[in-house]
Amino acid sequence: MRLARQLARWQAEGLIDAATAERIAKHEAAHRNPFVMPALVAIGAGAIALGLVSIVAANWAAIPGRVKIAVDLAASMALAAATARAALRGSRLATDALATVLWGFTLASLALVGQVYQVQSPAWRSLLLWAAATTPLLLLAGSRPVAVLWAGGWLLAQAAGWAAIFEWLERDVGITPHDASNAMLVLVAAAPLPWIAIGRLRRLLRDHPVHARVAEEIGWLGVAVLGALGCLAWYSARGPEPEIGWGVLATGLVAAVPVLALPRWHPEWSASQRAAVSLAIGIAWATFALGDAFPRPAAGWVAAITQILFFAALAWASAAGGHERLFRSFTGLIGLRILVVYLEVFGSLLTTGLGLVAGGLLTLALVWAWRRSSMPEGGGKGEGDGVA
Amino acid sequence: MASRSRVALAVLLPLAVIVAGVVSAERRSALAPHLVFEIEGYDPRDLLRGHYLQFRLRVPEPATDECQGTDPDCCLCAMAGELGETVRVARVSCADAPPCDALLPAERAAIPLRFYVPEDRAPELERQLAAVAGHGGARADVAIAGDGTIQVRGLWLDGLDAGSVAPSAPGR
Repeated sequence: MRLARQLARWQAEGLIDAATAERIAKHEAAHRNPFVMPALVAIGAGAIALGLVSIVAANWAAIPGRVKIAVDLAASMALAAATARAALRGSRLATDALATVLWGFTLASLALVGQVYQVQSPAWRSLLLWAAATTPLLLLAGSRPVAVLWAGGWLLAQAAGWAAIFEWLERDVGITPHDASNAMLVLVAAAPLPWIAIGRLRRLLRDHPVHARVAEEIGWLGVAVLGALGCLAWYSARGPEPEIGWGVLATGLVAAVPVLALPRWHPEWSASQRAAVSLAIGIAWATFALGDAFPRPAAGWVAAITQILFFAALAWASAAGGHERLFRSFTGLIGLRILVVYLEVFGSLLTTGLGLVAGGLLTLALVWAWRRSSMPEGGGKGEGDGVA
Repeated sequence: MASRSRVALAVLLPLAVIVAGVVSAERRSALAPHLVFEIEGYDPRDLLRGHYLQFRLRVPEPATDECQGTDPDCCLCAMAGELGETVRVARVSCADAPPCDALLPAERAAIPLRFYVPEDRAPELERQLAAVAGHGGARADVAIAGDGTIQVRGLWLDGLDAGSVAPSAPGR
C-alpha cells in the first residue's frame, strides 16, 4: 500500500510515467520478502510448542504414564503426517507452522518419556538429541523466524553441553578448578566459530540459504559480544599471580582462526573489510591478553577506549561491506559507550568536567566522521544482508 | 518442493528418537534388577525444571571397601536385596569388578536424583520426604543401565507408593 501511494505521488509530480510505475510495482511484488506472516506463524506455533512443554511439566496424575506415552506417540504421528503432507504440497506457511509445532512437540515428548520413566539422563543429552533429530525437520521450513528457532535449539544444546563438559572436566578428568576455568574460557571463545563455519557450508548455502545466513549471523554476533566482553578484563586489578594462565594463549589461537579463515569463508569481501574484522578481533584479544599479562591496578579507561576502538573497527568493516544498518548500529554502540564513560568519570568536578569535554569532543568527531562517511544514500545492503 | 525421501526423513527422525527413548526405558524397567536404596532429601523442587522431588541414594555400609568413593576409578558393585530389603554394595575398582547386578561409578551415586510428581501433589510429597527421610522411611527402587544411567522405578515414603513406573515393584 505504501509503495502504491509513493508511486502515485511520484507519477503525479511527473518523476515517473505510468509504464515505469507499473514496472516498479510488478518488480517489487515479485521480489517481496514477506516477514510479518512467517514471524506470526513462528510465534503462534512456538507458543503452542512451549504450552505443550508446560503441560507435560504439570505431570497430570489422573492419566497413567503409559497412556500418556501412547497419546503422545499418536499425536506425534498425526503431526508428522500433517507436516509431510504440507511439505509435499508445497504449502510454505503450513509447513513452517506444523514443523515448528512438531519441533516443540518432540522436546515435550522427550521430557514426557523422562518424566514417566523417571530416567535420570543429563539434560544436555536430551537437548542434543532433540536439536539433531529435528534439524532435517526445520530445514523443510524456509522462513527466517523458523531458522532462528532452529538455531535457538542448537544454542540451548550447546550451552547445556558446555555445562556438562565443565562438570566432567572437574569431576571425572580431575583437573584443577583453575585449569577447568581455562578450558572453559577457550571453549567459550571458540563457541562462535562452528556457527560461522556451518553458515559457510556450500551445501547449506545452496539448499538452505536462510538457515546458513542465520547460523553465520549468530557466529559473528558471538564474536562481537565476546570481543566487547574481552575488553572488560581491565575493570578489575591483576595481582602478582596471573589469574587466567594458559587460556590466554589458547584464546589467541582461537582468535587467529577466523582471521586466517576469512579469505576462504568470504573471498568476496574486500581487503579493507577483512582487515577491519581482523583488526577488531586483534584489538579484543590483545586487550584481554594484556589485562592478564602483568600486575596492574584496575583501569576502566583502558576498557572503555579499547571497546570503542573495537566497535569502530566493526563499524569500519560494516561500511567497507556496504552494510549501512550494521554501520549505524556499531556507531550507535560507540555513542552509547561514550555515554557510559560520562557516567563512569563522575567523581570530582575536575574529572567529571574533563570526562564530559573529552566525551563531547569524541561524540562530535564521531558525528563528523559519520556525515563524511562515503556511504551512498540508499546504497547500503539493508537489514539482515549478511554481516560485517 | 522437497523430495519425498527428504520429507520422510525429516518427519520420521523425531518420531524415531521418541520411540527409541520409550523402548529403551521400558526395556531397562523390565529387565534390570530391582535395586532398593534408602534415600535422603536434597534440595527443594526447582519450579523452572518442572515438578520433582530431589533426593540422593543413601549408600549402605559396603561389604568390601577397596577404594575411596571420591576416586574416579571407584565403582559401587550393587547386588539386589531379598524382597523388602535394601541393596547390598561393595566398593571396588571399576576396571576389576566382580560380577554384580549393577556397576555404578561411586561418584555418580552421590549425584541428586529427580522424581517427577504431579503438580498438585508436589508440596505434600516434598513435606513427606523431608519428614520420613531422616529415619529410613524413604526408599527408591532404581534400575541402573550399563552406561550408568539411573532410572527410578518407584519411590516409597513410609511404605506408601509416591508414584511408580511399575507399582508392583518390591522393596517397600
